[in-house]
Amino acid sequence: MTASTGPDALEAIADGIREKCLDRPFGEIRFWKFAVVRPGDQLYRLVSVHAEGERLDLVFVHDSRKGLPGVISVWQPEGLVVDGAGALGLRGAARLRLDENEATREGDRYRIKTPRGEGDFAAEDSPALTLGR
Amino acid sequence: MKSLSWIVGALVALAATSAAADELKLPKKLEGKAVVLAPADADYARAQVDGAVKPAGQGGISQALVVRLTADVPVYRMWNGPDKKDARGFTNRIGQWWGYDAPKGKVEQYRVDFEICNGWNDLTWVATCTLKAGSVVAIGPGQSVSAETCGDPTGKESYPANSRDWQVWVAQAWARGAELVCPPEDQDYPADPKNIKKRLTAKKAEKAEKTGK
Repeated sequence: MTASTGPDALEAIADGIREKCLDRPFGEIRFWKFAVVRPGDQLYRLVSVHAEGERLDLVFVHDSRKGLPGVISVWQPEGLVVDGAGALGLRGAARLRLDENEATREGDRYRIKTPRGEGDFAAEDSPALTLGR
Repeated sequence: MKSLSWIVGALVALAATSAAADELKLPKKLEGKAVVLAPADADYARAQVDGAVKPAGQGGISQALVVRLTADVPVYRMWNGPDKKDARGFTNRIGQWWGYDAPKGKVEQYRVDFEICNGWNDLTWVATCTLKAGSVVAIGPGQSVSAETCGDPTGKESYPANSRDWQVWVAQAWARGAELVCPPEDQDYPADPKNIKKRLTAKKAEKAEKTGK
């Protein structure tokens, strides 16, 4: 665990998300460039954030408030960015997971594992996590 | 001098093409059934168009017109069917992306025409709903989708932008039951992948299962 992702830094990111992003709608979930869900097809809202060790758990529900909550887990998150509309970005992360989709940073690339297979891509300047409109 | 005038001419043509591409017009299919709203219109914001328009490679639509329907319009959506639910317990029957052209032809072509990655939607069933007069929605040509966006490591699955087949974005469709009127789920049909206009028969389904096609 680096200094930038120690317990205090992790809790600071969690606090930032709680302050600026809870209950804001998002229709995109991207792990680097990978769109985990079809952009703009559904709408979700973050309802809580939990920091555990070096991992953040972002709990969300569908905009309809029906169904079960989902959890996006982020290991070693860095660099929270929030725009005026409440869209959330994390500039860096070691690993992310949602359901059966996982992405891991490997040097200047990221590797994804999905039910359809796995492979790696150049990360370039893409943020590790985007929850966008 | 001759080569310079050629270059200037090419640049002028390019600029004109770009300007024309930016000026969306109401598709013929919706003429007489919808009116285009200007951004200053009080109802424009109902479309929530910022959720629909995306940059190149990222899906969605490349540009949007906001329209108010003046007549009821049938809209269509392909989905995964009643037996497939996500981890939240939802089927994908209702979402924000729809089309006003009835699905036809092969499912593989439909996937290309509407830039839908394999991981996002199986495209095995067809739902037909009615978008009621008075609804305000965004419409526009589909945006390209890159292999990185689809998450295809082979780089083979990507989709070009499509200016011909427009999509309809019904913001928060699940909360607009009076505007997006859908019949009971048993009115939908499993689509024949070779001709999605037709219902998949039990015989064809059995054959597909045996052959894996």
